[in-house]
Amino acid sequence: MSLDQMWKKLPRSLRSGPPKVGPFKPGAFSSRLHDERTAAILGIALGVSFLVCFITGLYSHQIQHPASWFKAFPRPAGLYRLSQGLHVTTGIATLPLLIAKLWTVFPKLFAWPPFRSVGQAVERIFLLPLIGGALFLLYSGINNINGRYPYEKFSFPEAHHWAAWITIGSLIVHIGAKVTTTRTALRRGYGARTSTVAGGVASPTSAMSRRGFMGVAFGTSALVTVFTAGQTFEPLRKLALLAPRRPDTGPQGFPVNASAVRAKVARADLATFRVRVHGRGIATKEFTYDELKAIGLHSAELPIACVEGWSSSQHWTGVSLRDLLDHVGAPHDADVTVRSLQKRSNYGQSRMNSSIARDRDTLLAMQVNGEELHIDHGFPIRLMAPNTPGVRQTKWIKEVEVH
Amino acid sequence: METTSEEQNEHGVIFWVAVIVGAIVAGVGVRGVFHQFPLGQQRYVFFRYLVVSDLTHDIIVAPVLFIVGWIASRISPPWLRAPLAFGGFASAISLAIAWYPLQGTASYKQNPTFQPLNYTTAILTVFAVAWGIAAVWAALRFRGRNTLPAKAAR
Repeated sequence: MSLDQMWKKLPRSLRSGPPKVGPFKPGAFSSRLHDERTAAILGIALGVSFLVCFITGLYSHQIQHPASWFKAFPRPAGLYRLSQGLHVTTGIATLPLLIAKLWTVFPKLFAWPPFRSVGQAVERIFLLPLIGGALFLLYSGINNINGRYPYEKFSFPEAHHWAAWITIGSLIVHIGAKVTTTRTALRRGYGARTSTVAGGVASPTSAMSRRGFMGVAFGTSALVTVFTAGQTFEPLRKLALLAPRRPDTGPQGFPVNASAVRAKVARADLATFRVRVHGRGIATKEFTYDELKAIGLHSAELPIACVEGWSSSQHWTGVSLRDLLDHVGAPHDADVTVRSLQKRSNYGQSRMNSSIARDRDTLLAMQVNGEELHIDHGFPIRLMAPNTPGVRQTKWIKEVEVH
Repeated sequence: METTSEEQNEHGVIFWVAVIVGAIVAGVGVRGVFHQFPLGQQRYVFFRYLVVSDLTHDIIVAPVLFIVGWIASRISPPWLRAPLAFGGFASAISLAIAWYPLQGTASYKQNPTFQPLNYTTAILTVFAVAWGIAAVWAALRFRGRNTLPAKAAR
C-alpha cells in the first residue's frame, strides 16, 4: 500500500490536521525572514562550524583516549592548543547561528501533513537527533568550560563525544535532503517572489530586512567570539570578558586547573624527595632533585593547552626526558608513563609514546619563566610535552616507568 | 498526498546515499553510548537530554523569541528593528554564555584562576558594547531611512 493510499484511509479529522489557529493557520509565518535562502546561508555556516568542532573534537578525544591505531605526535608543538582553542571558540560562536537558523525554519514544525513521502518522513525523523544533539553539545560544552557537571548518570567526555557522532550523522542526512534546495536558493538570490520554508510565498515586507537579520545573527556570533577567544588567543586576552579563564591570570602568570589543595598534594621536602625510574631494560634507580638537575637542564617555550579551550605559552626549564632515558639506558622505542604524587585521580598519570617521550622539548620541568614551580603548577617536577593536552601534563611527578 | 517535483529532488539518490552514510555515522554514536553507558538508566538519561533539549527550544525558546520579536516590531519604526534585535539578541546570548560564571559554578574547585573576573561588571561591559553597536547601526539607518523601502526587498 502506498503512502498516498495509507493517507486516504485515515479518518477525516486526522487528515485535516489540527485546528487552523495560531501557528497552524495558513500563512501564519509569511515573513521573508523564513525564506529558503536565509535558511540556506545559515545552514552552510552551521555545517562548517559543526564540521570544525567535530574534527577538532575527534582529535582531542583521540589524544586523551587513543584508539589502538592512533599514534600521538609531538609536532607542531602548538597543534593541540590551536585545535582545542578552535573547538571551544567555534562552539561558542555557533550558539547564536543555531538559534537564528532554528527560528528561520520554525514554521516547518507546524506543517500538515508532517510528511508527504517516505523520504520526507526519514528526513524529519533525523531532525530530532540533529537539533537535540546540537543543542546538547553546546549546552554540555558551555557547562564543561565552566566546571559544571550536572549529569548524575554519565560523565561529560563520553556523552559529549558520542552525542557528536549522533549529531554529525544526522547532519549528513540533513545535508543530503537540502543540498538541491540550498543550491537553488543560493542561485536564485533574493527576488520579489521568495519561497518560505513552509512552502508559501513570502510577504514582500517584513518586520526586518533579511540583511538586517543576517547582521543580527552573524554580528552576535562575532561579538561573543571576540569576548571569549582571548582565553586561547593571547592578543585578545584583555577582552575575554565572557570566558571563565584568562590566560594571564594565576600563580606565576597563568591559570591552574587542579590546585594542590584540591589534589590533596602537600609541598614536597626536597631533602627527601625522590623520582623513581624503572621499567623495561633498565635497573631501577631513584634520583634526588639535584641529581636530576645534574643530568643537564634544557629550556623550551611550550603552551599549556586545556581541554576547556584556554591556553598559555610559558618558558619551561627542566631535564629533557630524552636525556634522562639515555642516562638510564632505556630502549629508544620505549613508551613512558609518568606518575604523580596525587592519589586516586583519573589524571594522576600520563603515558606517552616514544616519539613524544624522546622529543627534545619533552621536559621534567622544574622551573617556569626562571622561577621554581609553584606548588599549584606541580612543584617540584611536572611533565611538559609538546602537542599534549594540559590534563596529561602530569604534575607532582614521583615516578617514571619505561615500557 | 502527492509528492511535488521539488520533494522528489530533495529525496533523490543523493539523499538516500546521505541517509546510509549518516545512519552509519550516527550508529557509531549510538553504539558508543550503549557500550560506554552499560546501565539502562544511563542510556535513558542521555537520550532524554537530547529530547529535552529539542523540546526546550520548541516550547520555550522559539515562542519567546517570536513573542519578543512581535512586540518589538509593533513598537519600533522599521529603521530601528534590526539594531534593536541585535542589541537584544546579542545581550541574551552573552548572558547565556556568562550565566555560569555569574553564578560562580566553579567555586567548589577552590581555584581562584577559574572564573577569576567580576562577571557582573564583565557582562555589563558586554551589554554596553552590544547596545553601543546597536546605537551606531540605528543612527546610520535613521539617516538612510528614506531609502529603506527600496532596499527592503533584500
